Amino acid sequence: MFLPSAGGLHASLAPFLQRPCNKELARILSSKLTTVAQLCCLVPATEGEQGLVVVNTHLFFHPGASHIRMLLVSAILREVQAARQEWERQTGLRLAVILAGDLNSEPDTGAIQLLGSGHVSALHPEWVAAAGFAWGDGDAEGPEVL
Amino acid sequence: MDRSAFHQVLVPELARAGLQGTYLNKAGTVKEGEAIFFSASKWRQAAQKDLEMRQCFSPAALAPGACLSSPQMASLRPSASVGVFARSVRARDCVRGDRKQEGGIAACAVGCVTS
Repeated sequence: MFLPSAGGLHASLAPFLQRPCNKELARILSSKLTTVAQLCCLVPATEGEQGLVVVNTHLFFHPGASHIRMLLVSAILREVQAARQEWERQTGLRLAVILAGDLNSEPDTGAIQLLGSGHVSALHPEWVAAAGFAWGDGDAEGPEVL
Repeated sequence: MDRSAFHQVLVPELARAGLQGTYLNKAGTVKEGEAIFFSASKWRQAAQKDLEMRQCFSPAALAPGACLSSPQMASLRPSASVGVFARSVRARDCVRGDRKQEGGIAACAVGCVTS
């Protein structure tokens, strides 16, 4: 069962996704992707002051959609931070984050850069390279498969 | 890995290594998902949140001040689980790795991978 996201968490993306040139991107993100992420709060079974937020995901596979993986990572990080704060309040523990998964991203991609530094430049080449990406592009199997 | 592989292979195999798992299928009808396992003797699962990422980009989620009701936090209940995470691996490797290392892996996260 899927739970709704906390309100307003992703509102900062609105100006970007509501631009007419990003109409297809917004459609893919909001209605086509099947990507999910698991967030799991683990606390010590016996005693201890440190717990974990373990995150697992499998990002959209398409080689022409690295910009989508960047946006997915950014959304996941916002969700993780919100959940972490809530769970730290509930458990009274410090929670470290472990993010694992199949990110479909090489080390030099924007998605990994975002995870490593918390920032991706608006001039990152993947924005331009993926600008024309449309659902169903360039893959015999089609994005519907994954 | 799909739900049946999780229940029929991963859960019993990894239980022998003391690991407990939770599964989440992808959105839609595709039979593929992902799982998190952890050491049940070291950790207890206090809460869980399953995210369907497209909901994060829905018009409602993007609206300023949008407030999708979030009783999810209130409804989260502790369940019996536990773990330390060591690595993200393919399901097959995870099973193989645990056998090889005889409990050397406190826990693992299994990314959903088509093999």
